Amino acid sequence: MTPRQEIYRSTPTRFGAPLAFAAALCLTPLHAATLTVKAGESIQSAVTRAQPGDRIEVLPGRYHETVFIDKDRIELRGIARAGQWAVLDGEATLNDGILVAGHGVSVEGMWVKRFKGNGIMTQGSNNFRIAHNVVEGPCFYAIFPQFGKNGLIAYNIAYGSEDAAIYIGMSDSVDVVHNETYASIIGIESENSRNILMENNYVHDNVLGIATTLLPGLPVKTADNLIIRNNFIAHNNKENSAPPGAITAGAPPGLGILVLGTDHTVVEGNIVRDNESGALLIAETSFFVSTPDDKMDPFPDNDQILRNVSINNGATPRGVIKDLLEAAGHDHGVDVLSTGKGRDNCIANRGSVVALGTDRFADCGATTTSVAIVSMQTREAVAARSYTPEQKGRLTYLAVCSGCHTYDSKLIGPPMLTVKALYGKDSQRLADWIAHPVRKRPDYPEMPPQNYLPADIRLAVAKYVLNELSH
Amino acid sequence: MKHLSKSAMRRAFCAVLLLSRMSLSSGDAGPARVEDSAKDAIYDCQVPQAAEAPARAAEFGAASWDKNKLGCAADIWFSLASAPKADAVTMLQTLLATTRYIDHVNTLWSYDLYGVRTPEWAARLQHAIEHGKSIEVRLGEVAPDDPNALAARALFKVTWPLRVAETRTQLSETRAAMALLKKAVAGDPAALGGNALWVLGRLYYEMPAFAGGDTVKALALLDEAHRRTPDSISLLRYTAYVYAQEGNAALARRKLQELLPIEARASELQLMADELKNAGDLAVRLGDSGLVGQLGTKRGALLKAHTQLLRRQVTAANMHGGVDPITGKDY
Repeated sequence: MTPRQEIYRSTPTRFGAPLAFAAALCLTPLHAATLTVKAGESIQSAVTRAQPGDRIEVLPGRYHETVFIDKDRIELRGIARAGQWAVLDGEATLNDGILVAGHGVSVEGMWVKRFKGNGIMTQGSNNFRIAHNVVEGPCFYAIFPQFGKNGLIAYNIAYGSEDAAIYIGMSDSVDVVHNETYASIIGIESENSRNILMENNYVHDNVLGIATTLLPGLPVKTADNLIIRNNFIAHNNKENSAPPGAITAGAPPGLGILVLGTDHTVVEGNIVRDNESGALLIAETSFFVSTPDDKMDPFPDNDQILRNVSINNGATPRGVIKDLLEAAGHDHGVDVLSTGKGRDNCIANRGSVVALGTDRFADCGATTTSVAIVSMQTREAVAARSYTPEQKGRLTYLAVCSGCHTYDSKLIGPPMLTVKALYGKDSQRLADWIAHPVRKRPDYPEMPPQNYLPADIRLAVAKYVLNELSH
Repeated sequence: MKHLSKSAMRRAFCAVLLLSRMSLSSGDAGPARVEDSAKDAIYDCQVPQAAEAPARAAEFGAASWDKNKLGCAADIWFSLASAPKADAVTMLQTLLATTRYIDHVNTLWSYDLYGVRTPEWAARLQHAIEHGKSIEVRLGEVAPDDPNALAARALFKVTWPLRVAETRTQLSETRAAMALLKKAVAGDPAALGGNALWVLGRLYYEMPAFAGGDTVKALALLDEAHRRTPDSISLLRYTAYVYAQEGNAALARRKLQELLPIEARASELQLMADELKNAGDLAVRLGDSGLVGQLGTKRGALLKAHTQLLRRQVTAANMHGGVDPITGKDY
């Protein structure tokens, strides 16, 4: 057990220490062997040699590679000595730092920086643990679990993201606790996810502090049972530098908390201060995103606003918040702003906050609280799901390829239509090229080698691109 | 001014508000991380002689799935409206065609969820909005009290800012549109083929209460609009959505069922395909598998018979979109 582990396990959360501790134990893999990686060696080589259940210890030093873990119960652990970390540096040339596709995988103690896509991403992984890492931008997402069940994201420092620093995407039963996020578009976002606890985080100096969102155009159509509790959300007044046209370009600057279309969302016990536009906005999804998706209910329902401390928010509203306030005849911000849609929402101690648009909100009552819920992780590890080659191909395309490619347009790399035309049905040739690409077109940047992907994964994604991908 | 017939108005305008919703997101334009796709905004559009122009514009305008033809239809109308002796009807048709094209581009942009083709959409909108604004002003001058003209101006006002204007502009334009629509329906409740009434209801529903929204008024207007135009596919689908949002699932299902026997007019093929998709999606949410199947069958047959129709899919980009990686299916 490293000192940082001791700090984690001995630091009580206000309400959730006992069960969070127990859940963390459930997720800690029992390691069979320990492989050590020294400076100058390859982390990926160790992953390739490792067996499920093994621990990989990465000694201090600088490593320049993408690490792909598709084996179960691997524990990747950076070892810090005398203030020196195991640093995984993408040097702004590689796309992804650590990609996890196995179940029960733990990533701890790594300093991951300068990857163009994701710092640490899990894709379809259950029972994951991402703790005690530093993830430094610029990157798109610093920490991004997607399609996962049962996870812990704790004691990380994440900053410099062009989107969300910690982004929980279409996942279930995840605790996001004791993290610090800053200098990003969104500090922490839970998107189309269920059973998520965001607690005791320090979220500051982003465009927007914490957001729970239900977005259209995604396969998961609900966002439900979310808790934003006991966080310190301060000074999120960064200018929004998201690329024009990107969905995050609409993130309201100067806002502490955004609840966008999510249901059964509890906002409780947070200290929210010095956010220039306001403390909290509750709105329907269609207010910000016009993509039609009638499979989802865009209104926020059954949400509870419970006893937050709001200080000096809304002093100088900007952007959409300012425009909304002006439409209502306000020249300064409010603590709680709602567009007024949704049913069965409530607010506690209404008289203590300045609110607008909450006429349909009931009184939550003096004793309503979420403290009985101390963790959203499951008591037992969820089943490790096995994926077919087709599913692996689609998941890998989404996680790895779609950051640079789209079907019929140029994003960073060429459109996949041209790739299909070039390779026809020869998926093996494309799989081989992915591992060792060479520059073919002068008007495109050279593609980073994807040789960290195992041969079967490369073939699966090549088959998906050539045989299945259609939009 | 000379009034157009109700059916002509319906045909001209059927897709104007297709799928567009109140969206107050930032709409700044410009490339970043994406190709400069603005060159794709250029389309070939030969403006015919004046005598042939209306027919050509009508022909192109019926291709409701084709951004270039819709753009060209708007341009042809604009050339006619730019003539010194252009009458109010020509201006009205021009504004409707322009609004319809803007709505089409807005919808394409909405499905480009990650902004891959932002430069193209922005360039197309800039061109069309410039035309639309000039015609909207002139139409207001030549036909200040005509219900159809008032309604057409209102629909332009709620459509053009959707993707390119700041929230304050969207709100102010929407409020102005509501005032125009109130005046239009006071003069003629059937203005613009019944669209004025139901769009007013829609705006009352979607605006926040502190900015002029009113759910009770919205429901009354939508019901009245439905009574007058029971076969309006967009109105039916939207009213079903509103009832679902207000917790009346039974009435929502009934509205969706009323869509089933309606046959798409030639000029409404894309609209019908889109509304059947939306309706089917809503039926999924309502848990009515029978209705899902019926609506899906109807849409499938339509798409099979008209392969040019857009299927409205979100392209995968930036780790989102595409097919469901688990099932391999659209969602």
